[in-house]
Amino acid sequence: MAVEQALAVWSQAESAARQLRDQRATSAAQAYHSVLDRLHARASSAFQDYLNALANVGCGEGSSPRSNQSGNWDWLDYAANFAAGWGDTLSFNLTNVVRNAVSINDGIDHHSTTYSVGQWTGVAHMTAIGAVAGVHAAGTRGAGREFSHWIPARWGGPRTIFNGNYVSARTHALSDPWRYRFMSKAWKAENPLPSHAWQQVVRIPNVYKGIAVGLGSGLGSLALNREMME
Amino acid sequence: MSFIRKIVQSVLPIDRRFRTYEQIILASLEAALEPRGRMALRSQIEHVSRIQRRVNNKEINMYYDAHLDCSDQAFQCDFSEYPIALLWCSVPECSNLIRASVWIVGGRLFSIVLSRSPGRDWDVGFNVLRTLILCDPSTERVALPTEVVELGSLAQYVGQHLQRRIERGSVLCPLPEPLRERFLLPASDCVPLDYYHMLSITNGYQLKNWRILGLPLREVAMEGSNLFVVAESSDSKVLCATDGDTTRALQLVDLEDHSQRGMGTQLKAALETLLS
Repeated sequence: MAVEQALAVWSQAESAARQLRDQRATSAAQAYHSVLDRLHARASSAFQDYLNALANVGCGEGSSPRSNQSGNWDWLDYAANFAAGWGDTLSFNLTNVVRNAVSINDGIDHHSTTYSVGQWTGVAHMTAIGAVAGVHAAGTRGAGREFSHWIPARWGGPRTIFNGNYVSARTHALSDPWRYRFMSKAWKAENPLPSHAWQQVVRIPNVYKGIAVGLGSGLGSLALNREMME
Repeated sequence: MSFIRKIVQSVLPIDRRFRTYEQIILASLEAALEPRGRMALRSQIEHVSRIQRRVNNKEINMYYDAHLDCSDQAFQCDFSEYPIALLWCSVPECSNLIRASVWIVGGRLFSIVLSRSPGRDWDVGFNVLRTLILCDPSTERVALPTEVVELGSLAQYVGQHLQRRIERGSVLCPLPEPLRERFLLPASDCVPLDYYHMLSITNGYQLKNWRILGLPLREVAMEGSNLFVVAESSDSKVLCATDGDTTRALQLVDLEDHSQRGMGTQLKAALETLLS
């Protein structure tokens, strides 16, 4: 009997403990979900505010923003327009052609301000890519590399990639008459000095060339894009 | 018109005409050569298609049409480049003589290097007083010697310490003495004495990243006095002697910054400083 009583007490105690644990777990879960709900609500609110703000920006001349039932601007449209403008510039309009080919271009408003902002962001990115490529092309000091000044050192030009490039002795000599004079005559016989204009083209720091090529490509792509839209 | 011509020439630097003093120099050279060499030189001059003048017209380089095969008129010689002759010239109102060295590259006339910038009055009263043929391959066959040079013999010119750093197999044989003396003539009073003597042991060698150059000495036209390159490094620096500098001082020229600094009057000391 005593054993049975003891087992019964044990069973009651265990049941009570399980209930208590379940209660605790439930309350913890509830608390967790409560926090998540609150965070979600806050995030949704903030995101909605942001999208509304973006909608106000997008609501420029020529734009045709759409609103959902709650009266807020459709953020997905703006994101799509922005991404399309950005991608069309970076891809030289190839993404636009692809969208047309797969018939998903109707959702893009090519005359919206957000599309235009996307395009200009693409131009900025291409310029930045050009600058990075220019820095890479400017090179670093190493075996067989020598610094070719754009503005000569004797005129105060510093030794930095913003005033020249690290190039081979051959390239240096063919773009710098001062360097050229120290080359052997046999080399000079094989390599006449190019015109002053060409020397200057070679001597311009690659950083600036990269920026110019990036910006030019971006603007060219933008112009092509706009030409095809009309 | 002159201004427009300068602009056009800066964009398209094509000039086919020799100036009067250049014609006088080449005519004097022709006259000093043996008939075979004279014919070869005349033929080469006729085929010059482009002339480039550099450094205030002190360096005159001649180019030929790439498709033109003048191999039958080329001078046969083992040197890829060498001065065929030195000419001493005079101009009115100048007491100092002007030296003109005429260079052959790849068997063809390529360059005239003047010791002074031509003035406007050079087309009138320019005279060649003396022509010295340094190496006429049409009359003498010049073959580069190929004997092995012992590194030990260089010790007195570079020191034991530097001698160990000379690349084996890079030490060139000296030129025959008569030719050596002739090639050294324009620079005999300005190169360091140890370099001068070193040329009797070797005609150049590689010492770490420095290439010690032998004969014929590369003459570099400069706005002031010309330079003779004695050694050049792989990191765009050259050691030069200055034409007419009887102190025999060496100059270290940085080809990136265009800066110059004195390196003393001994090649050995200069190399020790540069390699320390």
